[in-house]
Amino acid sequence: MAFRINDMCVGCGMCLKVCPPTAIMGEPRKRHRISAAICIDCGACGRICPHSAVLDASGRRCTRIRRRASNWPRPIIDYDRCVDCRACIDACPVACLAIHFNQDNADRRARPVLAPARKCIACRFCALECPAEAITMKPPSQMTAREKLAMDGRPNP
Amino acid sequence: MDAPYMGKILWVDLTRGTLHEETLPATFYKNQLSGIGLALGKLLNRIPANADPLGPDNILAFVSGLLTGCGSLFTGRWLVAGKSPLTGGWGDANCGGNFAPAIKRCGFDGIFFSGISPRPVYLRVEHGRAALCDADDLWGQDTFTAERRLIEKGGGAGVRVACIGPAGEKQSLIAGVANDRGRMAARSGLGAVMGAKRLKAVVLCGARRIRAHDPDAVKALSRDCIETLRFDPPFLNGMMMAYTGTLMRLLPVQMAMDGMLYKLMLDKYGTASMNQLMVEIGDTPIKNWKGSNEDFDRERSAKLSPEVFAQPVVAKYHCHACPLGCGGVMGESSPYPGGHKPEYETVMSLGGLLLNDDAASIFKLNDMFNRAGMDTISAGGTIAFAMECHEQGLLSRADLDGLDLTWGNSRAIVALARKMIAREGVGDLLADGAKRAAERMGGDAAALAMHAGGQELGMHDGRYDPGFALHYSAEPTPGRHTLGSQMYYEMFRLWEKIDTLPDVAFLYTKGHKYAWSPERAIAAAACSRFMNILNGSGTCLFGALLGVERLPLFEWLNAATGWQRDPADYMLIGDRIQTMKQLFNIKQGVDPRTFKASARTLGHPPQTSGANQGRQVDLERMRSDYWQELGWDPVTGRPRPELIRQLGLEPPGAWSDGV
Repeated sequence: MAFRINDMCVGCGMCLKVCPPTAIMGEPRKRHRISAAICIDCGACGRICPHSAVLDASGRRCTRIRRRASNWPRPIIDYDRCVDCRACIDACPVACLAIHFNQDNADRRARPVLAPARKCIACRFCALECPAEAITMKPPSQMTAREKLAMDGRPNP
Repeated sequence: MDAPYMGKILWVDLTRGTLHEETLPATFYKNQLSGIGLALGKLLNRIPANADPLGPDNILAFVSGLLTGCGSLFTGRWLVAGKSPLTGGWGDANCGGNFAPAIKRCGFDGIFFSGISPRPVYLRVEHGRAALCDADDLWGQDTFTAERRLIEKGGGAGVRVACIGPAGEKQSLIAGVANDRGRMAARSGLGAVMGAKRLKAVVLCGARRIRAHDPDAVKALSRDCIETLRFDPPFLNGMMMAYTGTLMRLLPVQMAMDGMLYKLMLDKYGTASMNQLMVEIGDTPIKNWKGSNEDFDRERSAKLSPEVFAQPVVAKYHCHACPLGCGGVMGESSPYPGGHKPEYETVMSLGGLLLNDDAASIFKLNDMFNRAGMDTISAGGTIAFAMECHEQGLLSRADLDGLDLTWGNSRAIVALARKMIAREGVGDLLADGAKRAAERMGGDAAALAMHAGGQELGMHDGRYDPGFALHYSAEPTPGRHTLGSQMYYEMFRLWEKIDTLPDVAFLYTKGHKYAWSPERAIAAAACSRFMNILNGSGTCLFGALLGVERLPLFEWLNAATGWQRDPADYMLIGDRIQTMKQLFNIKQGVDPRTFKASARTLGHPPQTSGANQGRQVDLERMRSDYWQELGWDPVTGRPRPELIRQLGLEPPGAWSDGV
């Protein structure tokens, strides 16, 4: 299964820039195409397309979510539930999760953190794959000040 | 229907520089899982009889486990397999780290390399697009440097690398394959196969999701498992554990081992938690298997205490999907920042086995071997052999390039290790393991090489736990401590799920422990079969040691695949894999009887003092019962024709049979 682009596409190329496995091909101002063999179903193209020209794996039309308005959901990690197993880090298609610890790390935990947060494409792979169900997705525009602090490499604000 | 396997493998012909994909049907995975089953399924028929392990006919496989990446825990192990140049039979080695999910995220369950490249290359797979790239500039670099450079070249975080170091390039038969800064798939000498193929590394960058048939059910099982693991009471320290070991040695009764105790120790110190306990119990071989705990008393073992190896650790290291994290990353203030702390096997093969209590030298050797890509168990076993040869006058100081290789001389050990890695002088003699060195030396040296089928033994003494002696000697992959033992059987607790297997009493006498019975053969065969399921699903042995009630392996398999199988059905797959390994060896002309471990390790002659005083292992009897239980000929170890038919395998007559 893979995402597809329909004839609403104007060839603006925004999807092409955001696609992690570079599965999208196309000339500027011409209809773009997604390689089904390479697509990973992350949905970033559907979220970014200004013309809602992307159909998801089930054939439903994707709705644009404004990224600049901080509306793309980002992971919030509950460190009480997290078991530091790195499944989220290995699941992330854009490598925006990393291990964090200090050199004076008293509890010797190696926690996953969102860093750099700006690379996140809101695919939810981390949340879907977390075996401890420690990750929830929330747009920064709806986050509390404390939750916002947790982004970009600071696990315990 | 979603399934946790990708249904495809990638073939790379290094001679021609060509690549192609092969699609596998669902029945393939149903019959032999993925991981080791996938590797065997492809290599058994495709590696021709009597193939040169370092020649173009050998095929090297990198495979991921069936459960890897689907939401289950402890299932992040990848496996490298091929014909072992060390034993001449089936070779496999597995490793944690972060490489296992990367294979699947690139869209493959395994990557298979045949032929020999005309020049050094590495394979790069990026989001399903694969290409062979020039590795001239990486050849000669250590595993840390090569990996860092390949990650930088590949676009940074998100790139996963498995590579060889100088030991593999120089085709040392005890070389392994490294991942994530020196975690090693070390055994079976498969690093030499990679070096012979001039394949420096496999570099993966993929983002495909790995889907379970019923992800909610998989996660619910994981949640329960995590809850079990949260149990964490205040804990003993290293010396208290040494006294516990002394007490266990002296008491006439033994308590059945429980995985929760082991989990607590692993959680706190990693495998190094065993350092003092195992010496005191009698499980650690000392002084090339000649000595005992009396030669390495508590005062000496205290210098290699768990605390010593935990001290430089700033963060626990977790392999993919591991909630426990038995590894440790060393901090900036240590001499080896960012490196992995030494594990129990490393500490003891370079410590007790050499009567070396200099912890600093073990940190140093750990770093050297991890960078060189050399197996620390085999390296330690080979150095121990050289030390005894020196003691007996078989290797003079001149033969040793001037090194004063007396027991415990840590400076000489480090110097010799450097020579082995570089294959310089006497290091060239020793770089292929103790058996090869003894063959080249001739005379009485063979009696001093402690190995099974050419592979040095793990740091668990068969005279303490006869199960280790049996699995070292009777398995198609000899000398491995990760395939079974009486202690593992107690911890797996398979009888909780499979009625026909014998259970173990909570307390039993030492007399019972060392008395052989047909039940023990049933238990040993169950260990072998179960380990094959673990290696087919990509599961960690340490997770499995929690017991099948706490680690729901069979349930995960059913939830992830949608199969409705009971544990006994899975054990049948384990059986098939076990027999395939032996058929591989028969095809390659291996006589299974020749894999018997060296006489000394079996208590011939028996030790005159220490924890294992007077203990002897009646290997012939144990092995014939074990082979019989597996449906193999009890004398020759060859799988019986009726078993081969019953398991749906090809008859051995179809191959040019070397035996």
